[in-house]
Amino acid sequence: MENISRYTIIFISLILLQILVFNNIPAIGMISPYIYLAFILILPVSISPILLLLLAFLSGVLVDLSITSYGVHSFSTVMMAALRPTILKILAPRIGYESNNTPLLSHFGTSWALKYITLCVAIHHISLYFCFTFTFSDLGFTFIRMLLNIALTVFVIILSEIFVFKK
Amino acid sequence: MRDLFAFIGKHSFILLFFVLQIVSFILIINFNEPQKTRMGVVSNAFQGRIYSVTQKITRYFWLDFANQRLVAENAKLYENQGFSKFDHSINVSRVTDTAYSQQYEYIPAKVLNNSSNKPNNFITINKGWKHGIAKNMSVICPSGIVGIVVRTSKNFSLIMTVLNSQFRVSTKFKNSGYYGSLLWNGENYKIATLEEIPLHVIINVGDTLVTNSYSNLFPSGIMVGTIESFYQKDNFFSANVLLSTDFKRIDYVYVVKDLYKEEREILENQVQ
Repeated sequence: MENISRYTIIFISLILLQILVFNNIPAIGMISPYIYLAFILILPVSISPILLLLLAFLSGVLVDLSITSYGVHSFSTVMMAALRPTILKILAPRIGYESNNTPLLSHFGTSWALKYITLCVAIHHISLYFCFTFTFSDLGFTFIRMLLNIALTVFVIILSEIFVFKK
Repeated sequence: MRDLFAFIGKHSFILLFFVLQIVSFILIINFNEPQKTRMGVVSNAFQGRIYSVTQKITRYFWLDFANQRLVAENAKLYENQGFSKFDHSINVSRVTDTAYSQQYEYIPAKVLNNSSNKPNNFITINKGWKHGIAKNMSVICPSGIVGIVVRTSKNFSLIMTVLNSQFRVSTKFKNSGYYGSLLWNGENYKIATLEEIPLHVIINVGDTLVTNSYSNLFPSGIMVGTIESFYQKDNFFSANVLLSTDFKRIDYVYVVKDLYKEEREILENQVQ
């Protein structure tokens, strides 16, 4: 019960942070960090995948509504959430996860967190950029922007895990 | 119904995933202008592609029918050619349309079986005595001569092609008119041999050979091939002839029915 209220607060604050602050930062060119992904990433390992999908869809829809890009973020976030269990399985420690584990930097170390966050964010951003451009032409430019955006988002999420989500 | 629920329960994750993705996708292509336009272009292109592919496929199914119609039409055209008519005119100066009547009829047939790499090669066609085909009729195709009917059944016929050691046909040079006997040496399906050409005949590489009516088999003037090379053998020239018919890809042939063949044979046999 305590957990649920805690995650609800995190969810609301991250979405508000994304909508009110990060969406309005005039970042380099057209890239901007997507901090709201951190919510999907820090949910407990043992969470039901169905609930994970629904939460991802909800957060995607909310971000979409704020920047009138209907469907783009929800598609990418659901894609990322669907692949999160697989990525966790790939990166699982030798002894496996415990039931109360949360995939946090403070718990599994910097290099593990970097791998996990980068993989998830990369999936999200690849999907996001293809939903935005909706074409396979001009791949080079899209690719460069995508890489920069992945780096920026990963950087912001790592910072947030170091300073905010310590436990 | 219970199975359906069991199925949904078992695969709820993947089903939910697809439902959410489809909902998102529909949102993307309905409420975002650039994506909507792009999707319109893509789906138009896709429709166009599908349409052209289906058209290609249907056209392919009609191909056989179209071919049959074309060969029937060709047979008609051949019958109207000058060389298919028998000259009835007694007085040469009397040139009227009624002076000619049909001498050759052409029965189109499809090649069912073909060989070109044995010492004796035969072709099977899909017409037999039911269709009016008889032994010793000649067979041609648009590019040249093919062979002679050697055996018929009710629906099929066997043709001895030029590529057969038994095959002999009388041919002539189109330009000089000298004739010689063409046979096949059994090596190359493209090359036949023309033998016993007198030494005074002027042969050029590339000369065209056509059939003549001496052997009472082919209508005269049907393309046989061109001279590829020639050499002296005893007191005659021999020549290698590049056959105009590609025996590796015969598809449709015409069986030539000579309406005056019997009359001529009876006459010629009286003196032998």
